[in-house]
Amino acid sequence: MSQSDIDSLIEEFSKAEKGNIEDIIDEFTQESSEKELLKKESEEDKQTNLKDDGNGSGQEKIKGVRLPENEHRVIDKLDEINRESEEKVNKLFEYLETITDELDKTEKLIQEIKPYMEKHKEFMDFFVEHFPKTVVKNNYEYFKNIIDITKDIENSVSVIRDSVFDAMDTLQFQDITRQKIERVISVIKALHDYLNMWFDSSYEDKPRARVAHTIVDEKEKGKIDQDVEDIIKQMQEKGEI
Amino acid sequence: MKIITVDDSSTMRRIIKNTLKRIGYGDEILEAGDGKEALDVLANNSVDLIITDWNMPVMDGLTFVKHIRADSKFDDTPIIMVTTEAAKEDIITALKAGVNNYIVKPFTPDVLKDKIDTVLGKKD
Repeated sequence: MSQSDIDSLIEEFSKAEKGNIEDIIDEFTQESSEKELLKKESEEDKQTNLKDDGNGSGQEKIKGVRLPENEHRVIDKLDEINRESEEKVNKLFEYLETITDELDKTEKLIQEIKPYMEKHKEFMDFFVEHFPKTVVKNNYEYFKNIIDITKDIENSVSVIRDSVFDAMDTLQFQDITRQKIERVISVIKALHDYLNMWFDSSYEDKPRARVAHTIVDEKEKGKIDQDVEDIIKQMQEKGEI
Repeated sequence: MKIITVDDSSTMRRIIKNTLKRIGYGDEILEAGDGKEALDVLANNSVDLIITDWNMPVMDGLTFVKHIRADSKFDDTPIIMVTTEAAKEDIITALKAGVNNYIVKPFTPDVLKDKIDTVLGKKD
């Protein structure tokens, strides 16, 4: 007997004259038995109709209607999209980390050769100053070019590194997008659960994170950060934290 | 400095780890995919800072924070929550549960550094 059956029974009891109670019990017992029988028949009917379509595809049918294969079911598909995008973003992150590692090596090499170049420049400065008419002067111009190129490489390394870091920071949007998809999944699940009440189907679900209430619009981010600071300050002033 | 980062997104854990290294807090970083896993990790490790997400399966960040704050071993361990939740009531709930500071995703390295410096008392 369901909770609503019990509630109805209690309500009938509270309304009934004492003499009618036995009649109510009889009536309810009969109704419950009929409901149980109907439920059993429905289960058997479902089992009969929920079966393989017979062509070896493993695809199920309900009342002759072919159900979508697992990979085409919306929640599974959205989960797969989330999983794949996370995998790809992690892969992308690996590439970006490789770039930063190589930039580190390049920067280290530049730092290593810099003192030698400085020494060499001092040496050549001395020669050019004291022996201006020798061939050293031409080499000196080439060398100054090399120093300038090295500085350019150093600047490029710095610009590339900043861009790679910006790219890494931007990858946070994968997580934010994932949570937006999770919200869509929660709506589909709610709809599924509602329909479930009528059609008595079931969906095996995995443990899920609580769905985000609010996902900040990028344009409002500055204001939100300031709001967080204000709330923390107010609570600290009130001694609440 | 030993830090644990708790987030069900491996991407976010990676971003936080990388950012911590960039801002000079990358000595030793532990990871966990949810609150329960983090409690298991912390059962055998002590940390100087906890950075946790809110929305996670199995055990969410808020429940995790409540567990941590119920354990006197972590009385002095600061907690920063990094989450998409930006509603005022959520922020207050987290702070009342024992979170020391709060960051709304997406964050910048400067914001993370600023918040860490604040909870570690390195900032006025």
